[in-house]
Amino acid sequence: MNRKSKPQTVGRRHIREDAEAKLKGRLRFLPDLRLDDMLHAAQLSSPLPHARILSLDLEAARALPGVVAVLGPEDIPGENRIGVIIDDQPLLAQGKVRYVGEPMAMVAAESAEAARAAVAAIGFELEELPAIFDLDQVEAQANEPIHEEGPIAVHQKLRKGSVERGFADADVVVEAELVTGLQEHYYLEPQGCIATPGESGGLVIHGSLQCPFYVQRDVSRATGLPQSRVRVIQTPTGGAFGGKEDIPSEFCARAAVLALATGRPVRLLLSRDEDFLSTSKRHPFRIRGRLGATKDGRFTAMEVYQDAEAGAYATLSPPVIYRACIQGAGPYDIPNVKVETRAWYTNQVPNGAFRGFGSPQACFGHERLVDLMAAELGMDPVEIRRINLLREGGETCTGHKLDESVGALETLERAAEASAKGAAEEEAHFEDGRWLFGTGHAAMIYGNCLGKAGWHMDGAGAYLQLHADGSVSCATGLTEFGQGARTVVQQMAAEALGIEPDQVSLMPVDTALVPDSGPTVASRNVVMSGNAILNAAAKLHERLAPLREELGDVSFRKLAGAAYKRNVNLAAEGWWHVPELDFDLKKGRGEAYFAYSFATQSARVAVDRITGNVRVLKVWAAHDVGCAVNPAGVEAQVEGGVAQGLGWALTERFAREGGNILARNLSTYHLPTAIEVPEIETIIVEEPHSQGPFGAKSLGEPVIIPTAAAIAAAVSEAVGAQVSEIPIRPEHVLELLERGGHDSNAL
Amino acid sequence: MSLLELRVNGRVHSIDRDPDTPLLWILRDQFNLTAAKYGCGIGECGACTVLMDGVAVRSCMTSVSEAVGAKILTLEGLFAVEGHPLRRAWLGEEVSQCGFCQPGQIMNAAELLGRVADPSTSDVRAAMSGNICRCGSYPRIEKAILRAAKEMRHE
Repeated sequence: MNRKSKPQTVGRRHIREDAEAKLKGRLRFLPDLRLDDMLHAAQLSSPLPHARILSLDLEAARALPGVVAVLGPEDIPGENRIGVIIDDQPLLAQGKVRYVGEPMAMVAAESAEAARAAVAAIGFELEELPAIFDLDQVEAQANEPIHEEGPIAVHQKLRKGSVERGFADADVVVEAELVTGLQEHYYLEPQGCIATPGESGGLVIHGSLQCPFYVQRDVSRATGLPQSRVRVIQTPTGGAFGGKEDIPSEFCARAAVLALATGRPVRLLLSRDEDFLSTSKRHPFRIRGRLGATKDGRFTAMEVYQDAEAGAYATLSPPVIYRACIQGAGPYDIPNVKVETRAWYTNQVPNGAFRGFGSPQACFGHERLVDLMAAELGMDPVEIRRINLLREGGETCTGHKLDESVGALETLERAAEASAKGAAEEEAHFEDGRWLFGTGHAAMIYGNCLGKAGWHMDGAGAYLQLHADGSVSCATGLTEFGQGARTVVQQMAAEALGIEPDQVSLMPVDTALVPDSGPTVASRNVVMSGNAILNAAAKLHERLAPLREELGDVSFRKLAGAAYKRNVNLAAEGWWHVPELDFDLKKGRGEAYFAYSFATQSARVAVDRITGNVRVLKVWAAHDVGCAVNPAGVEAQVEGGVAQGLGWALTERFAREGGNILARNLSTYHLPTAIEVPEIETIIVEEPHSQGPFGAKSLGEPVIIPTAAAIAAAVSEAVGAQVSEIPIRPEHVLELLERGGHDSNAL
Repeated sequence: MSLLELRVNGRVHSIDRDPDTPLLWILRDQFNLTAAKYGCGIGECGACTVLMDGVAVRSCMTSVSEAVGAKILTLEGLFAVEGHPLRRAWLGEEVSQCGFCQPGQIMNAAELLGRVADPSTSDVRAAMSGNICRCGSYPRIEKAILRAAKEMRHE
């Protein structure tokens, strides 16, 4: 391997490889594609949250002008099943509907208007059943179970030491009940895909998506075609944040079935309203926790019970629950830990993947407990974290001994130091007396990639083709949807081959080019693709070595040209998988993940004593990323994660009434705007990991994880009472102000 | 249906469409100008922003009949000439993430800079508060606009 002692490209700021195309509006997103002869799809959605389907009459719809196909569950040529892990979800509801918005039938027509008219003409009879709407009601499911298998979709446990002993050893024990809310992804580009029948009887799928290999599997299953005849190509994707992990598979599978039935390309595009109604959200959590510590602030035990709302189907609850449980007690070295995490079925749209996979919820839980303990002991919140944070040689809450790459403490020290200077400039804008100020801190641990629960699909491929002119084509199996991963991949390929990044051209992600590389989730892209590229580059270097020896010190371009003329194989595939993990899934003991990222974020807030409004003045985000391959990309990720975390903490209240979603647009669901998002200072900490490419670790999800907890801590400090629920609503703040002894009438 | 004349990016088009059709769909479907995006369809997200006689409008909420007689400018038209200060600033501040909201952001910024030569930070935030970026690139957008404004003032 021809790795230079000092990287030339890795670690330097790079403008995104697609920045120019995006600026000119030339990048073709899915809705920008037009195919000849294309049909438009629409879906019939259940109006009821829980009901038996008594009849479905498609004939009247089929007779309408412009309608080419109207299909129900009986018309699916393959299996009427969808989903990644637990087999509980149909592609079209059969027998029962389990949430408002669940698709029951689908249409392909010559125009979108004709498709909608056909949907309206489908006849059906439903017999309403008692429904379960939230975590308050889940225990009552015995009456009319949502699924025969019982009310709990997923259950994960973690045990370390003995919490009974740990609490007996404690001088002080604090307890809390905490609540976190739903969150809508609101990627700017709604879900969309096009399925096109291929000449040889297969299908080509284009889509706005994160996981082409998931789509390939589900399309194959629904159509009955072998996976080899389903080719999936990702189109440039306008945001995803987890919302385009498994969800696109169902739309692609429906479009695929319609394309096969009609023999024509079929496009399925969701309106914003349909997207709000029928796609996954962040799981709401209820957390009950206890933390014990000695007088001098050393933690002796933490016990956490997390209950999450899965919605009507399990979808991605398993990885969300796994991660929330494993990280449930945080980045601390605690001898005795117990965590229990359950996901419950309700008659709501299934909750699924959203940046962090349960980690932001878990972090809100353990960090609120830590702040309560600091308050109880009269100790500085930074100091109590300093005492208990993991260090090299320490053991995580699953008993994983960490021998390297533990940047937790450095992130704390640097965030604390930077935030201690305050945000005087911003504070000056807030009039005297009316506003209260506070600073809060939150620390987190993040297991890289899929961990033990997903180890069987934690491998990824890459393909490098060296051309006679010394330029390189590069394909990987993991996708770009705004993170800047493609630029990092380009840099890593260039670094591995010793060439300039502009000599590396990236291909679109296409299942025909690279072997199944698993899902683009869990901040895997840089780690997995990077290692696979290093593997491919090593093969190329090995093949070029004899010529290099013969020709001496020539340019890479000349070397490539000479190799081409000698018939050297200049195409290499690379592969990397996560090392084996020694982990007991039943007890939650052992090596849960192969590596961990760490971070501390600090937030400074102003709280309006009259209205209860909270303004975030500044956020300092210190992240241990192992190696910042593209520091510009790191900063962009941090800023974006903090903005989303701020929304989840303060503005994004996702209202429902029974089984109906009331949050349907930006008037009823408030996203942070240019006004709410403050200055964000990124602090890069690099504790390289031996298994990461160039030492790099995961980043894309960690950036959102501690934000809400840091804001909650800052608000708590400002008002003098502890926040226990997010989103933090003004009326809630007013109550806390009263509890904190602030009398707004005195103003 | 009725015959309508539209001036888009300096070219005159004659089209036969329902006058109530939102301008966005005429631009995208009829003229293949796909920079302006559908994000919400009710004027809340800003992804469809274009300029009409220099004023930023949400093209998803603007009927094509309202656009008759106006000079319509889309991102394709704004950046048709190389070297627009907003383009350089956007690259310089490394703004783009997923890129979907960007055409709308830039058109909205273009309107602001056409109105205010020396905008303050609060001017920028207020003017841009109707353009959603879920990737959270607001701090960069703000820097890019201030940078472009400075360049346009030849400072």
